[in-house]
Amino acid sequence: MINKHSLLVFLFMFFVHLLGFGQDTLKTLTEVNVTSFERLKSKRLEISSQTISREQILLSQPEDVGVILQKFSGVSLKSYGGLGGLKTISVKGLGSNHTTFLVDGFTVSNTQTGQVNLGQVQTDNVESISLSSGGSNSFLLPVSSYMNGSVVSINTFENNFSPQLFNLRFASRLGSFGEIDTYVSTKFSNKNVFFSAFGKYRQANGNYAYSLRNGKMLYEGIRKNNDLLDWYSGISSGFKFKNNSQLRLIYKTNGADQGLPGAVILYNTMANQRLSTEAHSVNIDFTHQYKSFSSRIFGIFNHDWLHYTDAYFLNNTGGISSRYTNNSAQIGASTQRLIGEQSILFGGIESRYSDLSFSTLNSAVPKRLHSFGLIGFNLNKTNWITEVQVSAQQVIEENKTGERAENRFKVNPFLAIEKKEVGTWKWKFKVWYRNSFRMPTFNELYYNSIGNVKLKPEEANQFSIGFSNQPIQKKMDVFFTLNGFANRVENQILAIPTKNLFVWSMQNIGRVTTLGFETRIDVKKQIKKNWSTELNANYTYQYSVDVSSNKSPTYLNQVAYIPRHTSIIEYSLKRKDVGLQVSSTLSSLRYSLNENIVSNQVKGFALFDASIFSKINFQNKHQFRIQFSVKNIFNLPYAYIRYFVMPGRNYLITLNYALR
Amino acid sequence: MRYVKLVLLVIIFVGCKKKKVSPTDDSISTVEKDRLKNGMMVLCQGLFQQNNSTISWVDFSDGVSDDLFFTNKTERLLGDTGNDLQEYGGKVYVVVNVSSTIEILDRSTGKSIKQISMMNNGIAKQPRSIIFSGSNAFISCYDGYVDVLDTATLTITKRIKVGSNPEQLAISNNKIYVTNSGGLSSPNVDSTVSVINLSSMDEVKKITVGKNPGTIVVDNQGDIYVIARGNYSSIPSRMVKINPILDQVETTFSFDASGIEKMGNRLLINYHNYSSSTSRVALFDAESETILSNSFIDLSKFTTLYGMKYRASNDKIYCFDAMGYSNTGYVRVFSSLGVYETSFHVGLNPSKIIFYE
Repeated sequence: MINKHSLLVFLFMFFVHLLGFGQDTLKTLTEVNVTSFERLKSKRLEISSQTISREQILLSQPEDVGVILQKFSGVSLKSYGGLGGLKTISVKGLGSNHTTFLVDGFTVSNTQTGQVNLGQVQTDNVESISLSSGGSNSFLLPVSSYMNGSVVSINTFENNFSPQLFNLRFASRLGSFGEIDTYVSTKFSNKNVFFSAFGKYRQANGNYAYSLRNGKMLYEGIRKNNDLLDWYSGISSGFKFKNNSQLRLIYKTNGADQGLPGAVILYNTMANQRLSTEAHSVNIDFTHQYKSFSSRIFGIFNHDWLHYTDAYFLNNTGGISSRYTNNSAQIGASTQRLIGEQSILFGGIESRYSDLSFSTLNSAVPKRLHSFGLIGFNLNKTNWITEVQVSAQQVIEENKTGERAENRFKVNPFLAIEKKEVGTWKWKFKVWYRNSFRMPTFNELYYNSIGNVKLKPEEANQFSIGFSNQPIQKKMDVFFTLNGFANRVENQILAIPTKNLFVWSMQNIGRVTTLGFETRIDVKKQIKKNWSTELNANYTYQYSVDVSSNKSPTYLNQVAYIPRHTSIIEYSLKRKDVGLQVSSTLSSLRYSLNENIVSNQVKGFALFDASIFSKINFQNKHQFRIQFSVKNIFNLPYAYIRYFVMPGRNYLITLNYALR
Repeated sequence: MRYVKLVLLVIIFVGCKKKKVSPTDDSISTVEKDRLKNGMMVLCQGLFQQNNSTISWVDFSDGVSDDLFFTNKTERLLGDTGNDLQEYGGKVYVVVNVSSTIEILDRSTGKSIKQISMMNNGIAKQPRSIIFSGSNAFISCYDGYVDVLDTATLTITKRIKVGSNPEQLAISNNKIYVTNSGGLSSPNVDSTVSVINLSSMDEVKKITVGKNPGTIVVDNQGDIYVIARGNYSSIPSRMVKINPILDQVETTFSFDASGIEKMGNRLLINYHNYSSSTSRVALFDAESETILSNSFIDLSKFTTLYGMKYRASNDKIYCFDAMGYSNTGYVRVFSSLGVYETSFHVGLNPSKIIFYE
């Protein structure tokens, strides 16, 4: 079955190739910045995309990418606490599996869990992070990323060309809970070639004090079994050739060994679960530009394993020790060409093979071939941009040891209409609609008794209308955006107890409607000579309710763990190379289950962080930066997930060095 | 001046107190007021890792449920996954599985007498069910033991080794019968019932009954009925009868059965079909050992039938509706002829009841 399909993919690839080369007599494009995959013509307005730069990341010194993503409007973070602990995001009421992750233009995926643990993606090497849902900033990304609900795209320092010949970066952190990190990265880069090598080591004892309310009493405890040791390293190289083409080769590996503190269980402080992971990844891409035609082919090869232990689980084999091994190979081609002055035809294909093996007996051995095809057209008129996409996906599933999930074939559209800058106030408008789906993961389909091979894909429909403006002001940069959205998720995949409280299984039972809006304002102002100030604030309202059945007691109740109100406000003040930042993260109450009753409430919170920093330049070449941060200044007890308590006040000292 | 005010305040306060009824009358009325009557205590299991197990107190005079009953009485939460609620000798025993505690309450007031932490060298024993005999309580613990609790001193005096993940207990012919589920080793579950001699307090035998034994009850003749739950798919869930003299399986009944509740000398046998998601309750005569009715209770009002409790004093059947396990549930009341009467809204996943006259 899989072989037959590979042939189909090959044929499709061949077809796309012909399509591209058949029209090479048209107008030549200006040079494409292939490394950062910026869009060819006018830069996409930022109504449906948000970006955070390295400077802002340095200021907030997040423990991982999850904390940064929370700063985008429309995002609800789910954090289970602790360094390296599980963190996922939900964008505008869509579950975490509706978001694709890209690092330097390569997708990061895991078919076993379907999501990336953001708690283990660190930010030391990140140059910028963006989140977009209504269209991407480039047409040369893996086409699968254009088909999902939203895309997080990370650009790193290591895997791209630099203007300087020799680059060196170093960062070290010393934090509460025994945290010590060290990151070193070096890169040699000229116009035609770059080589880089990088690595990071992080360890923490991790145990932290917390307090929580137990009935009418305040309980104070220590969250134990929170230790972490993790690392990543890699080498990377890139070559530019005379004929406007570029090749990149990247090898990355990472691993972790950590305790899993679990939920706080009243009266029982036992926590013995552990997790170790290791992953290896090779990424290759070749980008070529020929006249009006640019294309990219890429390959992503991953091997990773995960080992979970619970030494005191009360089964008859003396605890749990399970190992899961994932392999995946992904190849694809994306292409774009300019037609006339104003139109771009783009598209591509991609195929991803993944398998999983469990160490335990009676387990499934699933394999999946997921293929993607996309064709799109972008019409860029003087005042209007219109974009239309049609994508098709085919999923072929195998399971050697038992029942397998059904094969799937689906076609999904995307449509966006954008009115370009209007008048001196630079108003922009945009309306877009996207229909997408996400496949059930291997865990959801096959995991022991929980998995359910009968699961259907989870469908999502997103509609958004928004505007932004960037009024021209003297000595002040203002950017304002407001988006309204209406989303619906059908066949939501949920784990629910089905046989009794201890026997859960995955079901397609939910239907969720989300109505909301997000708004953001960024103000940058030069106060006087050497003094500048910046304010970034966002607010998101999400009425995200269960509409599965009007007979259900949870009909029109806010769904679990989606807060109705979230907001982030950051304010910074800089004088030359010294500055400070204060920020606050606000979230209204959430419910731990869909039934909106008092006993299911998880309290809202308002957290405050502050930091001061100083930069020192030596001979305009060596740049040092030292920062002191205090997080959760008021030592407030809070949790994203019920009883997964978060740490109280904690401190961090960071030293960064960059050779310029 | 400040002191004068203070003294005045004290005088007024004391004076007011004196105007009240005499102290003895006061304490009697308080005791009387606190005394629980004409209602039911319902243990609601909550959900794993949410510490939201509760006890609801339903007042039969107005049908209103106080879902914060335990917290109002003790100022703290019950914990995670309460699994059993039983009364004995003027006390109420609550077995809290994941928190690994036994909560002992005064039966008449609901106030806390003691919380026993069920830990063994730092490892949670995970208690499941409790039964009583003489001056002892016997508690099945998921770590493969039955703990003996002295009901006078409220201390654990002995641990009796049994099979894996023991679930429920029943007493007949001076012996305790314990269902060893082995549920945490699924799919390699246990299939035995351990027999503990009440005099020696040791396991004397293991009887093989079928995969994943759960519910166990004793009829008026002393016969023991066990549900062997099978594997929820190819191996069906069956009721098995054990002879308490020979300690042998006497009959494996051919009908489907998931749980048993004793009603006089008849058994209410519920069955849930997982593939069709349908339930039914049959009526079984324990003397003739025959099914009297295949569909005794009309379950059309139910979302998730989660167990039953027969109350002899008013001859009614109280059924639990777990409402899909993630919504707060109901206790639905039926006459002993299986006719629906009323429902009480309670907490999340109701599963056990103690009645108050």
